[in-house]
Amino acid sequence: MSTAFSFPKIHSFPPLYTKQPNATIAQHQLESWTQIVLEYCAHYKITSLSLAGVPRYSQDQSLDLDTLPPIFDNKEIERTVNEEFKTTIINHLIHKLHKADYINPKNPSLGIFIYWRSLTEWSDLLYSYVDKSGQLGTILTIYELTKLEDAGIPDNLKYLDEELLIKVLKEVLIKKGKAQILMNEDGEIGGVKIV
Amino acid sequence: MGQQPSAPKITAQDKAIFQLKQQRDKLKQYQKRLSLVIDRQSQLARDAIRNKQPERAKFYLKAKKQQQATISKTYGQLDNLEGLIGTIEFKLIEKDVIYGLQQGNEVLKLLNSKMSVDKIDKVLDDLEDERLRVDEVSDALGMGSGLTTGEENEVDEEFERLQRELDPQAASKEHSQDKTKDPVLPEVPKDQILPEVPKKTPQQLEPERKAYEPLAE
Repeated sequence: MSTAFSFPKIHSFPPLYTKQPNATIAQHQLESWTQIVLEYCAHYKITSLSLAGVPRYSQDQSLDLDTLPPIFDNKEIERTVNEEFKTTIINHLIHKLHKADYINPKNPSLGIFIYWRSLTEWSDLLYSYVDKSGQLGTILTIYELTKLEDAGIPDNLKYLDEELLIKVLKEVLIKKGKAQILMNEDGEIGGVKIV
Repeated sequence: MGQQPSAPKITAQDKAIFQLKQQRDKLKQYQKRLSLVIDRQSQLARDAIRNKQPERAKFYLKAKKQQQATISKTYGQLDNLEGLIGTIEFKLIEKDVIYGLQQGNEVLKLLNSKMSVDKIDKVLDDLEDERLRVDEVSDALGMGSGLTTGEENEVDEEFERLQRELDPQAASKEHSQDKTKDPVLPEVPKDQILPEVPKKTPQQLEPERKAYEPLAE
């Protein structure tokens, strides 16, 4: 089990929870929040959040996502970020910092990917694993790249969210001409050939 | 969209391997599911015994046994699948190797066809002709080829001198080697035996030689 994330002191500062009228202060506020979100997700290896800021998926299989301390709530000071401000923070993450993306842009309510590691960084990790294990040019299933127990997947890639993996394949490796995907019977991406 | 780099091609063999690997993944998932079921059934059986429900407990234990048997069957199938995947992948590599050998063979053939013996003879003949022509020109100009006899003699003399210079060194080296070998062995016994040995040896050696002669006959 990993240790609990220790929120920065500012997380216990009540004014942080309401959007400040002063533009400069509001800007700082957004910076603080996005930093908290990114550090929190990196700590728990969370790769996607719901629009309400609830963890959706973590690479850490020993983690019980329901028992994690909430990001946008602080019971001790009885403060909660309201929906509108949450949306502002998420938009800031997506459009200003490019550290997040809608899981499905056509259906934003599904939640967002959080990029504490960029898609390119993920693709580098994946590529170097496939390369070092001598599996370039072979057919690999999505399952064996993420969950297969005895495949020797390095810890930083193990149990990576399949949706995120597919995004990495589509948006980085395929665009570079380094990968080709294979569809399974259900018409979903089931495998990949990385060269 | 227009200028996407060419994507790696998926061959029929790739698709076959993909099918097999998907089957393997399904089996693995099935095994995982079964082992979770087994865990739960053990727990249920334990609870049943605790609640004094022996029939129920036996039911769970039987079911668990069944699942365990299934799991061991799936291992056999998994083995088959993995084996087949491995064989296909290896055959593909073999195919590449043979292709490589064929290509190499073609290149070698091509190179050999360009190097027929007749052609080489002709080239060498031409070369010899040209060389002769060069000599002719040189002679005509009175330059001769190479060194004069006098110069050749000087080379020989220098060679001998150098050899003489080097020879004594080589000889002395041999001597020093002998010396270093000799002292190590005999000096130790000499210290003890010296006074007796010189007196007896001339007498002893002669009879010994005579003694051996008849033996040799």
